[in-house]
Amino acid sequence: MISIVIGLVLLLLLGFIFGLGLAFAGVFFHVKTDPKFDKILSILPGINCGACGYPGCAGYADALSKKDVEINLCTPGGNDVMERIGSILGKKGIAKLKLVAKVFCLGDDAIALKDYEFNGEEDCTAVSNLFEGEKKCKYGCVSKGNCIRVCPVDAIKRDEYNRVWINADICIGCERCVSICPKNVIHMVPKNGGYFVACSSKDPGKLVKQICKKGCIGCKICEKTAGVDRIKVENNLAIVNYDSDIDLYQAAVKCPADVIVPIINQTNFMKDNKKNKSEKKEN
Amino acid sequence: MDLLLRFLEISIGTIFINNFVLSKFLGLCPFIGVSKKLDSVLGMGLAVMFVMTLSSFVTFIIYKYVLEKFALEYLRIVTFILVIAALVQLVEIILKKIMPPLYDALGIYLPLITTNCAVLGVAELNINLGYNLFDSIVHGFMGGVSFLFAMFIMATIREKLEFSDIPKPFKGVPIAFITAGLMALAFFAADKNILSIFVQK
Repeated sequence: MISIVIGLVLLLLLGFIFGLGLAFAGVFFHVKTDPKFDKILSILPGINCGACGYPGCAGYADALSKKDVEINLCTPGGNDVMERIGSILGKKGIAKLKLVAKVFCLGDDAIALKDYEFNGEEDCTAVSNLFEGEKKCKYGCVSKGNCIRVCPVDAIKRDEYNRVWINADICIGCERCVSICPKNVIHMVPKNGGYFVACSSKDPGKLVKQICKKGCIGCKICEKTAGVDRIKVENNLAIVNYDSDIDLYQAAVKCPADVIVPIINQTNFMKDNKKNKSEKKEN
Repeated sequence: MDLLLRFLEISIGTIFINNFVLSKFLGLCPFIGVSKKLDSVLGMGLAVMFVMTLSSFVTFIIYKYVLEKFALEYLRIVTFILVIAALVQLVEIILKKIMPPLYDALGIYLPLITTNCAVLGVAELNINLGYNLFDSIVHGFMGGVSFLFAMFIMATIREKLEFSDIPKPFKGVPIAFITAGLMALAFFAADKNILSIFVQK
């Protein structure tokens, strides 16, 4: 009994002495930080996404307060944060276009045919190393969710049919998912760019139609509707040019494969479109 | 002369025969995690050397003059962890004030050492092997050197591996594991006791 008490007292005493020593050292060796650093750090979003290229928000704030660094590097903060940093440092920066990530594939389990069932580790790289993925379409998303796990703000969702999609309202544009995706189906698009082509397949149209109900078949109907300057078909795949701002709504409705979808409210539009089309058929 | 011989004995023994990483398998996490680049290896290695030397000195004093006096030897792991954690914090605070360039160079590796089992391992081994104060400090310092040595070899190999043609599934950490295993086997060759099992007299 007495040895337990001695042990307890001794450990407590040691802990107390060390704690006291550290507290004194903290006061004695206190280093004054740059007041600019604290101010900038409190403005930055604090999610440590790394999109600016520095290790976390503190790293960027440190670089800003010491060196002559561009002030528009914080993608999640956007213009608001840039202006506030500019007012502290007395600098003006060029506003960056707000970019969001989008999965350029709509093929879920219900509409895309598969070569085989994968029963291994839930990891995109593992699946894509095995015959380039489960799906017959070798360009598409393998939906094992590597991007979901790296997303710092939970903007990426996976529905019950294993279709992965990114909510543009939550996405902060840190590009982590873009760099981790082994199939390269995630790309950055301007948030106010309107529509994007949610397909990456460069297979010829006939093959695409056989293996996936929602794949770009390269029919060029969108080109004729919206003009070649806005949307262009190359290698059997339509690509949107975001320098032009012609409305793509007509092209999206006319697209026979329904792969042209809006960047914001992607899922709502797809549901509405499906309803409209089925009503038309009934009439 | 005696002291010098003892110094050499412990040094060579710790670096080559009982290498902390490759023979005792301590501190494997930073060994794989930090050994991608030579720069960070040097930072981490120096930080470990520094903390190991200091902690083997402090833990030995505390064990000898506090724990043994009160017959509390069974509390040594708890006490050592406490000592090491406090020591690392203290070193960090002092370095930040006195030597900012060194603090910046060590960066994140300094606080990481708190959770490095090689540091606790060296404190434990000092007691188990019955070392005195001089032996403990030499053992601690050379433990750090052996850690740096293993990490240095690993980092140079891994920098080369980056550019070599490796099958896709082995790229990155898997090939590093295989390399580490082969290196550990190679280091076994320094131990006479293990060798004598395979070689018949």
